[in-house]
Amino acid sequence: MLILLIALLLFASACRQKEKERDLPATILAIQQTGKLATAEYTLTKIIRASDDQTWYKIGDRKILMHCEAHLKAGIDLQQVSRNNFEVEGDSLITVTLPHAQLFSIAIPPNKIQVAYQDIGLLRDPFSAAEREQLLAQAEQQIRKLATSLGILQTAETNAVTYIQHLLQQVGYKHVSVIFE
Amino acid sequence: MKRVRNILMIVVVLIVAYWLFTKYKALPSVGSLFKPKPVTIENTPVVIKQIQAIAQLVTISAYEEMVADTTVADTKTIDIPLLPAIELPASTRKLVIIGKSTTNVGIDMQQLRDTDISGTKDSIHIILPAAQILDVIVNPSDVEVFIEVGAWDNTAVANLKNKIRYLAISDAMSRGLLAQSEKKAVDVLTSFFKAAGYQKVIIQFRGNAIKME
Repeated sequence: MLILLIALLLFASACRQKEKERDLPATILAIQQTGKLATAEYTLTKIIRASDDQTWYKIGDRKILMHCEAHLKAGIDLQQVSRNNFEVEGDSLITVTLPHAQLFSIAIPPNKIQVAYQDIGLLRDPFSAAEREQLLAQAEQQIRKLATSLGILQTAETNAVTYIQHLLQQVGYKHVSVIFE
Repeated sequence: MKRVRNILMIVVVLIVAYWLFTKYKALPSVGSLFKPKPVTIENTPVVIKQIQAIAQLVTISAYEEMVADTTVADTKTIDIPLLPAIELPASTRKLVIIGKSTTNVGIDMQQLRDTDISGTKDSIHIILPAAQILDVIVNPSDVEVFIEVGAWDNTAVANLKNKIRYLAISDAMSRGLLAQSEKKAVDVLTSFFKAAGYQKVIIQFRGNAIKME
C-alpha cells in the first residue's frame, strides 16, 4: 500500500514537471541590450556559382547559378563612450573621441535570393532546398570575410563624425571636433 | 588444411596492412572513398550596389529560434473523354525549417528634426521618434532544413523564412521590446549627453509622456 502511494506521488510530481516544461517560452534564446549607432549601410550583390562534379561515382554533373543581395550595417558603439571621451574647452568648443567603427550586421533578405540557372545531368537529382541553403551559407561566409575590405568601416566613421557634429551643434556647441581612439 | 591456413594468413595480413595504411593516411578509408565530395561555391566578387548614410540607434537585439513548415498534397486527375475524371491518390510534400532570427529594435535617429532638440547651457531636451523594429535577420547560415520531402523551389523556402520573420516581429511586439528599447535609448543618450557636460537631460518620445529627467 505504502509503495503504491509513493509511486502515485512520484507519478503526480512527474506529470507536474511535464506541464511546467510545456509552459516554458521555447523560442527566445536571448535579449541583449545594446547602444549601437549604425551610420552606414552597404547594399551588395553577389553571384553564387557551383558545380557538383567532384564525386567520382556520380554520373553526370549538376550546376547552379544563384544571385543574392546583402545588406551590411556598421557604426559605433555609444556604450563605449564615457566622460573621458569628451573634452570641453570654453562654452562653444568640444572634442569627442569615439571608438572605431564595427560591422554590426549582415542580412541576406529571403526575397532577394534568386536561382537564375540550373543544369542537372540526366542521372542526377536537382539541388534540394537544404543544398541550396548550404551554398548560400558559403556565400554569406565569403561576404562576411570581405566586408571590412569594402571600406564600410571608414564610411561608418565618416558618417558618425558628420552625425555627432550635427547633433552637438544642435545643442549649442559651435565647434565640434570628432576624433577616433 | 594447410592451404586454408595460408589463405587465412594472407587475408589477415592484408587487413592489417590496410588498417595500417589507413591509420597513417596512406590509403583512403572505405567510408571516405564513398563519401560525396562537398559542393563548394566559386569565390566570385561582390558588387556594391548602394551606399547609404543612416543613423539607427539599436538598443535591443533579440535572438530567437523558430520552426516553420509547409505541406502540400499534390493530386493528379486523369481526364478520359465521356468518363468521369479519375483522381489519383495524393502525394504529400513536406518542408520543415528551423530558423534563428535576430530582431534589432531601436530608434531611427534620422527622423530627429532640428526642432526636436533644444537646450540651455547645462540642460537638454530631446523629443525622439518612437522605437521601431529596424531589422529582422534570418540568414542562410541561421537556417536548418529539418525535413524535406518532395521538391521545393526557392520561393517556398523564402516564404518559410518570411514566416519566421513575421513570427519574430509579433513576438517582439508581444514581449514589449519596443518599450524596452525606448527605455534603453533613454539610458544610452542620457549617459552620452551627461558625459558631454549636461547636468540635466530630458528625453521624451513623440506622443508619449516624459520618460526620464
